[in-house]
Amino acid sequence: MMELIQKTTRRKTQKELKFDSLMPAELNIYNQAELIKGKSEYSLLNFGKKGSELGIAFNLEGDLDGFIFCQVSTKDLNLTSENSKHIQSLFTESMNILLGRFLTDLEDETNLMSLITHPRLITKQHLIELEKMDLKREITFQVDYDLITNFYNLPCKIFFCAHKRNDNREV
Amino acid sequence: MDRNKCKILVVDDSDFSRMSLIQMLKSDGLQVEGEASSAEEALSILEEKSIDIAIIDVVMPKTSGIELANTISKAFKKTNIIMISSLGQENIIVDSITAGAQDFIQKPIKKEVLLGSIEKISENIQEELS
Repeated sequence: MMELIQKTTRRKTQKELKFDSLMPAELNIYNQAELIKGKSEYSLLNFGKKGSELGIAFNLEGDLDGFIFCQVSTKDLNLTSENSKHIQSLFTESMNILLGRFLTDLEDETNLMSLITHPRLITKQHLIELEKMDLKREITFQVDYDLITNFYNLPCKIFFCAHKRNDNREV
Repeated sequence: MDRNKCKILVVDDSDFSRMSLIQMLKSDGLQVEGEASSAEEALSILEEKSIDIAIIDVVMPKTSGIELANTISKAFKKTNIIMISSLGQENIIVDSITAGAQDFIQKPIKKEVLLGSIEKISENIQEELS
């Protein structure tokens, strides 16, 4: 009986769940940086790489199938080859940690099990291909974050785009 | 075995993560014997050096951390394994332990958690030696 109540409660939670609410409010990255959550919205996919942004993408595999695209703006920075490499590495690992935490919490809350793959750098060609995709039926949301270190404050955008693999589950 | 005498190998394709972990370990007087950004690089270090503890990231390009842990637990039986990952789902933890890992830590790694895990493993090594 208890199990049935728990299952019913879990299904209800799943139905009412807003995915972006599970994205962590803040996250400390090895005491070297802090990720602070900003606004989020459910309409999205207005990403255009202007040249002052660095983009990476993770494939999403499992119960949710799709991709997560992450972008960081470097427009106010004086980039050198050295700090550019550091920012890319910091940003990539920060996104990896953030999304890993999100997917772990998502499974705890909904039983939806999804993994991210190794990230890849996004080129302008990739963006053109993404913009051509029909994404209307997908689960989509966008969340803004600030990646703050002692030296930089980097505005980041995360675009989540996926669909359910198993239609028997409620999302 | 004194934890500060343990020879440690850090395997992570992320430069930032690898450097942060090494900094964390060295600041507490631990011996980082090597670092690798891939499973292949890690195996060549293991062929050359005796490593007590390998800290391995799960998600890596080409050969995954789980595959690497599997190989290490068969071919380098004296090397203990701590798996690390940003993903903390149950099946990742089970896969890590099945592959031969002694512990699993979810990123972002807290210094006290990592040091605690190393302490425990070094105590086990000491017990096996005595």
